[in-house]
Amino acid sequence: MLRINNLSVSYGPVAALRGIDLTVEAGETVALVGSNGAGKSTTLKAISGLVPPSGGTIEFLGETLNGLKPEAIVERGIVHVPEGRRIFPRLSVEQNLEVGAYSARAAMRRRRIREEVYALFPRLRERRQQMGGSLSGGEQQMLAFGRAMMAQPTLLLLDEPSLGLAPIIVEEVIRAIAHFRAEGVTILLVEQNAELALTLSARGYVLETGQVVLTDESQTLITHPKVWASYLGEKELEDT
Amino acid sequence: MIYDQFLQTLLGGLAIGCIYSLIALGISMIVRATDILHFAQGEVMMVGAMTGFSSGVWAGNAPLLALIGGTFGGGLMAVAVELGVYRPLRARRVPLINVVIATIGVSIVLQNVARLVWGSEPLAYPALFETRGLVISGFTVSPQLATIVVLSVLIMAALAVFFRYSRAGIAMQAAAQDPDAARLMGISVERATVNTFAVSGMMAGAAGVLLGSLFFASFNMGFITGIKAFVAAVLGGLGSVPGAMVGGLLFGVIETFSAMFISTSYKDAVGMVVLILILLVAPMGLFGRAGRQV
Repeated sequence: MLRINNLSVSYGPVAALRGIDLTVEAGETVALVGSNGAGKSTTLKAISGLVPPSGGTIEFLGETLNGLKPEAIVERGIVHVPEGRRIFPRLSVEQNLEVGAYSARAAMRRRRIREEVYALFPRLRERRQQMGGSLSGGEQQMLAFGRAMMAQPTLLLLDEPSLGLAPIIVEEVIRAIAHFRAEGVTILLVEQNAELALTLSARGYVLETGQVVLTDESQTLITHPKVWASYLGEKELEDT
Repeated sequence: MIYDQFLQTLLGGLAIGCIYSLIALGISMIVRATDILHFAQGEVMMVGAMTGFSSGVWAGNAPLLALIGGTFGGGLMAVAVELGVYRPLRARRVPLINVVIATIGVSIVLQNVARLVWGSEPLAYPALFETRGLVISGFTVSPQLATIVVLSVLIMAALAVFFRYSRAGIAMQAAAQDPDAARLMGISVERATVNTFAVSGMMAGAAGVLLGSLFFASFNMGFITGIKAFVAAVLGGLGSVPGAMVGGLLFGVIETFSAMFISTSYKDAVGMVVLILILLVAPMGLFGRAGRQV
């Protein structure tokens, strides 16, 4: 479904991605793990069109996405939930959801999907007139998921959905991801919490300083020393 | 009869305040969406006054057509400067301060173009609205001032409805609050910015017709009015929509009363002194918040 070949991205003189290859098949959940600055978020931003690739290709359902604007990529069914939730603080919960279904492909069924969102997260229905910025962190994460549901993705890009959330809220995150999977949505999941990411996914890629250093079944990766090394740093592992 | 005089002055202040509010709203919307301090907003208002004048005369003193002509004239002019000047500058990643300086350039160019097209003599607006005194429960009320207040309130109410319920309005707010997140929802931030200029220009254009009908329309009417609208926007808290409305009304009333109690010659100075005092007490303005929060 998604094919990334030799993708490079630079921020000015700094190379954030140095030629990564990555594929995601329809219906799969794939994890992208690695330490801070490994290039996980940059990979997602390149797919959704927020940053331009400096080399390589991104193909989705046989079509090259390079050079398309983010709003054109959304129309193809790729929905990116960015790090830090990024809900609109001075729009109400209901308006935030409305914006989620802004693309032409999502606008048609927006009323029905909104009911589904409220059924999955009753808290959002209670607060539908409240400003997004007045919600708690956990509620904002629910709203970010609700907004992604409104967009009706074929491929969902999730950037650090559990970051900074209490364990009880992480349960909600897992529930929301399960909902998308049950709907047959393909998911590319970026997480600092490698254990969580690898339990939720079938396959995974380990990124280190902008390169894929390892890819395997998630079950294998979860016990692989290299995964933990990429978080702790090689040096410390050698020392122990 | 002192009470009557007070009411008259208050109504006059509210009417001129409504005009400041309409211009200030556009300034606030633009700064929220693009961080640009739009110093040419007063000239957009002037262009609205001129196109309103021309379409009113062309239609044989039809007030409604003057208002429509002014509204669209202002909107088109604002869109033209966004597409022709500000967007190309932003695309070249010019520092923001240079774009702001460009808005001053635009304001001077618009004044000169208006002088070429409409001449340098002030144009007397045809009597758009009823000028005979209107008697409401014993008080004589100027129908012109009352019409300005009513029309302004209607325009601002329409704006509030547009922002709250329309998809385009919600998308404009989303794009202003977090452009990248808005892009990920499929919103074209470029289009949202053009819409912002269009709506803010339309309000300024309508304000131009109202102001022109009160006094004259002239090529240089925009400068000082634009500055005052700026003050109104800052008074309410730059970037805040309710702040711009209240700031405009407040500034209009303060200015009018200072003209009555002190002197007409000092009313501009008194208004500015009040601004400085308010900013000393509430540095962020009445409804202020710090810039664009994400």
